[in-house]
Formats: sequence, C-alpha cells, structure tokens
Amino acid sequence: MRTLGRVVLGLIYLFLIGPFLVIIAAAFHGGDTLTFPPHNLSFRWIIAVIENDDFQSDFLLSVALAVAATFAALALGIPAAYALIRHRPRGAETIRGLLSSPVVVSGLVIGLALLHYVVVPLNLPVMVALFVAHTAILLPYAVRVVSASLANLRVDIEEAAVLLGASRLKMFRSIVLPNIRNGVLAAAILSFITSFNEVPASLFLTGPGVHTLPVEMMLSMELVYDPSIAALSTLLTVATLVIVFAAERLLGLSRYV
Amino acid sequence: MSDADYLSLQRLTLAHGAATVVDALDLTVQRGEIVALLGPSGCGKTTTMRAIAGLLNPRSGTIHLGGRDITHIAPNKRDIGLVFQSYALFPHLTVAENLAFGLRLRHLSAAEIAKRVEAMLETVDLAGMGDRLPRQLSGGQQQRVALARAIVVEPRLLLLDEPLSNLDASLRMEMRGELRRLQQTLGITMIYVTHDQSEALALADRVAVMRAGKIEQLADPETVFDYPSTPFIARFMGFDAVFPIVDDKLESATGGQMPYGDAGQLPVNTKALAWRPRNIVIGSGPYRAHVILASYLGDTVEYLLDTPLGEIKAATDAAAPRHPIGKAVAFDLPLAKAARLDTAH
Repeated sequence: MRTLGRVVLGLIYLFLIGPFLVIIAAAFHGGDTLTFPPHNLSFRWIIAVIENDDFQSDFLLSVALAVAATFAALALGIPAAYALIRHRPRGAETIRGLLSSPVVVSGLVIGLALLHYVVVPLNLPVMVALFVAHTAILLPYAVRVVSASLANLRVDIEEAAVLLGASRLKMFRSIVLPNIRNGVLAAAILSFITSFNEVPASLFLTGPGVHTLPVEMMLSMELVYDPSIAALSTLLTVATLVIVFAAERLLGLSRYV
Repeated sequence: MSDADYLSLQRLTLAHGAATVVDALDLTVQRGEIVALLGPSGCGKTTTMRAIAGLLNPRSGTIHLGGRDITHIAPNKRDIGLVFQSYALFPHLTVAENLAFGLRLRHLSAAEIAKRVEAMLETVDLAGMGDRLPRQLSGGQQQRVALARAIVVEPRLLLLDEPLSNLDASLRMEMRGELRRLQQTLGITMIYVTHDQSEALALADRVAVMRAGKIEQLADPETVFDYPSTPFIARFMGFDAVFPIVDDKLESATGGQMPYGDAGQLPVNTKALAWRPRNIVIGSGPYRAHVILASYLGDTVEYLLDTPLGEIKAATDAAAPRHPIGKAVAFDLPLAKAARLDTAH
C-alpha cells in the first residue's frame, strides 16, 4: 500500500510540475523551434527575450499596471476590510460575498462586462481600462488577506489608544496599521502577482500597441513558434517563485491566503 | 448636583440593542475617592464603566465630570484613563513607547516625555524595563505597564476593569496593596469594577453593589459587609442563611417555617434576617436540627444542618467540641448577629 501511495503521489507531482519542467527545459534549446527534449543547450533565447524591445516595454507596462492596481486595491481594500471586521454593518456577509465575486466569476466575463458597460460607453483610454479592471480583480484578495490579519487584532488596544487621546485616524495609523503590516504586505505581494499574471480580462481591454506582457506572450505564440516564449515563461516563473518564497519566509504568506 | 460631586451619573440608561443593561442609574463620586462597582457578571458594571469612558453611548441620562457635561464628548477628549482586564498593551511598542503614547498626543517635549516615563516606570517598579516588548513581560509586569500607561497622562478619572483578575492569588494581593498605595500618593479618583467582594472591600472607599443594571446598595465597605440591605447582597457577602419573616416566623425558600422568638423586637421595616455560618450557634439554643455533614476547614469546622428551614450551614471554632454526624443538636439564630434586610427578595 505504501509503495502504491508513493507512486500516486509521484504521479500527482509530475502532473503539477511536469509542464513547468518541459517549458523550462525547452527554454534552453539552441534551435529555432520549440522543442522538447532540448538539444544543443544554450542561453540564446533567454538573452533574446531580455533584449527584445517589445517584451521590455510590455514588461514595464505590466509592472506599472500591477503596482498601480495593487496600491488602488489596498487603498480601497484596507478601509473596506476594517469596516467589515470592526463595524459589522448590516449585510456584512452579503458585502463580503459581493467583494469576493471577482474570484468566482471568470476573468473573461469581467473583461467583457467592463468593456461593454464601462470602457466603451465612457470611452476610457486603454491604460485606465486596464487599471480599473485589475483593481476590481485584486480588491477581493486585498480585502480577504487584510481581514484575516485584522480579525486577529484585539479591539481593546484600539480603545486604549482612543482613551489615551488619539483620534480615530491617528489610532488607525499608529496602532492598527503597524500591527497588520504583514497582512498588508502579503496582500500587496499576492495582488502584484495576480495582476502581473492576469490574462483573461486584460485580453478584452488591451488596445492597439498596448499589451500587458502575458497578453503579448499569448498573441505572439499564435504567430511565432520559437523557444522565446518558453524562455520568457521560465524567467517569469523563476521571478514569481523567488517573490513567493521570500514572502513565505519573511511574512508567512500562507497564513493569510 | 452639589459642588463636591466630582463625577455624577444621572438616570443613566444603557442598552445593547433592544436589551436594557443599565436602568436609570444614579451615582456620584467625590474627588480622590475610590468607588468599587461590585456585582456578578452581567450586572451592568462593565457597561457602566464603558459609558463613563465614552466607548458606549447612553440611551438616556447624563454624565458630568468636574462640573462639565461630558455625555456627548468623544472618548479621546474626555481625559479618562482605563486599565483593561486584558491590559491591552500595544504589542508593537516597547514598554517605554507604550507609556509615551498618551504623552506624545499631549504635545510634550521629548525630554519631558522621557523624564515622566522614567519616573513612572520607577513608581511601578519597572525601572530598566523600558526597552522590553509587552510579550517579554510576565502577567504581573504587563499589568503594571497597563496601570502606568493609564496613570502617566494624569487623567481626570481612572477606570479599572477587573485589573487583577488575570493574576494569581499572591500577586493579586500584592497588586491590591500597590494600587491602594498609588491611589493614596497620587490622589487619583478611581472607579474600580470587580466581581470579587474582598477586592472591593479592601480597595474602595465606597462600594456600589450592582444587580441587574441597578445599584442595590451604595455604602462604605464596613456597612456593606456587616449590614447588607437585600438578600442578594447578604448572600454575596457570605450570609448564607437568609430567611424572610412572616407573622413572627422565619420562612425558607423550600417552604419550611420556624417560629422566631425574637421577632417581636424587630421594627416593621425588617423583612428578612440573614446569618453567616460563623454566627449560628450550635450546641445550645431553642431550635433542633440534625447534623448531615461536618467539614474540617482548618480554623473552623463547618456543619450542614437539617432544620425545619431546610439545610443550613453553620460553623464553629475547630477547637470547640465536635458534633457527630447523624445526631440531633440544639442551635440558635441570635438576633444580635443577624443582618436585618429591608426587602425579602
């Protein structure tokens, strides 16, 4: 039984990790087409994608978008989480449900809905449309993660600060924020990664000449069949792993998610 | 309201949702006085305290402090200190920073803040601990930090919410003495919320015994201890045997009756009598009982007696002759040692 269990476990891991291994291996192929297993190993494609101007500008756009959307999601999400946890307004559960709907609803639906009812009627520029969509997608993550760390924070220390003379705002800045700092950082990292990897909604909202990196990758894959996409995927996977690993070690990310 | 009333609650009514927790409560506290709010959990004592602090809005009634109506003043503008049962120390700040928090908000100079924090740490016996974080301290030390943090800003009134209940017995006794000493040196006006009657009696100048959102008796500790005014307070103060008087007879809750010879001497407004176990005489007297149980308690022996009024606890000196279990004994309920209660309920 134990042997069988190990074999099943091994197969599950292979199923989960296998595709990554294929992609990573393919990234180091020296030839001109996407090939697995790779022969004549080389860093040729890795260097090529790093030097590619289109990828560079899309990368910068994706980073800028992810940073902006993360800040916006936190700016909305932290007060929302605080209000939901501390003041338990009527219908708090419904609000929580609504807030988490972007997790449940497919990105395609969100993208289409935003395009049809917001972006086109208001004639929003592409960057603004992407920013609005990403903020909406990140908000539930921000609210959930910040709520989790707020729920662990005692109310009486807030009352103690107020009775010592602090205004609500001063109390929030000097007592609440420092104590939920790790939760906020975890929310920020999670939001950043989510935004950076977002494809379905962005697909609807990107316009001519303005692509986020993952969208650009998907589109270019339809045209070109060389290992550059594998090389880029490898770079992004490694970067994401480094961020998540660091966050787990420093903040215990998995406690909040 | 006289000039001497420092804190005055008038017809204060407090509610959680639809439930009225405190009902038209009146209370005045003099400057420099400690008043204990004593009662079982759910009696409204903590709710009353939170309303005084401004953490809860009264449904009706007023709160005056130092001659000013503070009923609608925000809690951060009231200048009232509160020592929480859980201490509520700021976990991310050191002991010194915890103490400095309130001082900073009062815009004192950094040098003045450092001086006051240092002096206060000295006062509560925590000199040299300023750089520690709260979680690095023992319960007793955390308790003293909480007290110091509330006192260092020199509040107009200090509220204490069962501040000693999380400490072990010996530390509790020590801190009780400490608190009394601090209060007497600094002359702080305090309201002390507790369910522990020995704590209330030892610390307070006056004790307000609360029950179901009302103050049942407000008096100095000796009066509350020796002359409780209601059966509830009598039981709370250790008068285990409480019997209403009806037609010169003692009655018990179980329906038992016993003619009481001294009843004729009682004023008409005495509706019930109550005795502590120590004040019931065994071995002589006009009444008869059976000994059900005898427990040796060190200084005393406590007997459980089966009487016409039901089971009664009585205690004698351990040195007195013992009464064997199962035997009939004579006993007396001496009027001189009884608490006379104005109500039977």
